[in-house]
Amino acid sequence: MNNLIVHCSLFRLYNGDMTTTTVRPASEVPLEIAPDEVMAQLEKAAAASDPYDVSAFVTAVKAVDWDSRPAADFVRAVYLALNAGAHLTARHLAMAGAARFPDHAELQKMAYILAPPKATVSKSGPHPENKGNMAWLKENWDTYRGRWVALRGGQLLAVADSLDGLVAQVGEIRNTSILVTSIW
Amino acid sequence: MVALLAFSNGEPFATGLADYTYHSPTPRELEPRLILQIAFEGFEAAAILDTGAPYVICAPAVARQVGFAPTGSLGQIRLLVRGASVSGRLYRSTVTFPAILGVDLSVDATVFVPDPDWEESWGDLPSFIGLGGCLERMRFAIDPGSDTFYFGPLA
Repeated sequence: MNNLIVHCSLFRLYNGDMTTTTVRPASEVPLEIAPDEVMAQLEKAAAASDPYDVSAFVTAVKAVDWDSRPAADFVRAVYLALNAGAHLTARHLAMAGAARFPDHAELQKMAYILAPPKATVSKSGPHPENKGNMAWLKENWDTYRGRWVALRGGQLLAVADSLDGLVAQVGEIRNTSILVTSIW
Repeated sequence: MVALLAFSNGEPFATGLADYTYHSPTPRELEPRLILQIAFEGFEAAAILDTGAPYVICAPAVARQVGFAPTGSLGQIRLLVRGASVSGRLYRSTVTFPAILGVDLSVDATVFVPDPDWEESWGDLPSFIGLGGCLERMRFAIDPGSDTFYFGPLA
C-alpha cells in the first residue's frame, strides 16, 4: 500500500517553503531496501508520460514514501522527472534529496543546478552603447536573414555565415558589449 | 540603486531597462516574440523571451563559444524544444540582463545546453529565456509603447 500513500513531506514541498521541510535523517533509513515495485511504477509512469501532460507522472511521484527511499532513488527520480518534462517535480525531488542526504555529492549538485534562480543587482551598467542594437535588427532583419551579425551601439561590426566566422573577424567577444546573433 | 519603476511606497520595481524588438521565432511561425540582448557569462547574444520554456536554453553555437564544461552539469537529458526532443545537459550559470539605463541584473539561472551534435540541426534558432530557471524569480515588465523591457530583483 505504500505506493498509494500521498506522502506528507513531499506534499509540503509542493505547497510551501522547501527549505523548512522536515525529512527523516538518512541514518534512519535501512541500508538494504527490499526490492519493491515503487521505482518500477515510477519508471513506468515516466515512460508513459506525455510531455504536455505530466500529471500522471507527478501523481506517481507523490504516491512514493520518499522517507524510506535511498539516495539513488532520488537521483533516478530526478532524471525520470526531467526526461518526462516534469521540471518542477525534478526540482522538488532534488532539493528534498539534498536535504535528506547532505553528504551525497550528486544530489547536492542536482539541488544546486535545479534550485530556483536568484536575481541580484550587478555593480555593472549602464551600457548606453547597447542602445540601437534592437532597432538595427528590426530595420535590417530581411537583408541579413540566414547570416550572423556582430553589433555594437546600433552599428554593424561584422557579418558572417557562422558564429565562428564572426569571431574570426571580430576577435574576443566576451565582456566587450558586442552583441552577436544569427538572423533567423 | 536607481528606481526606474517603483511601488507606491517608493521601493524599486525595476533597476534597469533595455530595448527589445519583435520577431517570429522561425520563418514558419508568424507570431512575433520579444527578442532581448542578454549575456551568457559575459558573451552577449540575442535571445527570445519564452514564458513556456522551463529553463534558459543556450543555442549550441553560442554555448560552444561560452565554453560550458560538462563536468559542471547534470547527466544527459532530453528536452522538448519547439517540438523536437533535444538531448543536452543542465548547468548553473550566470545570465545577465545588460541595462541601457540603470544597472545590470545578474541571474543565477538553470541553463539547458544542447549536445554539440545538435549544432547543425539547430540551424539559425537563437537562445531562449525561460520563465522556469530564470524569469520566475525576477521582476520584469514591458512597455510596448517604447519597446522597453524593465527588470529588477525580487526584494
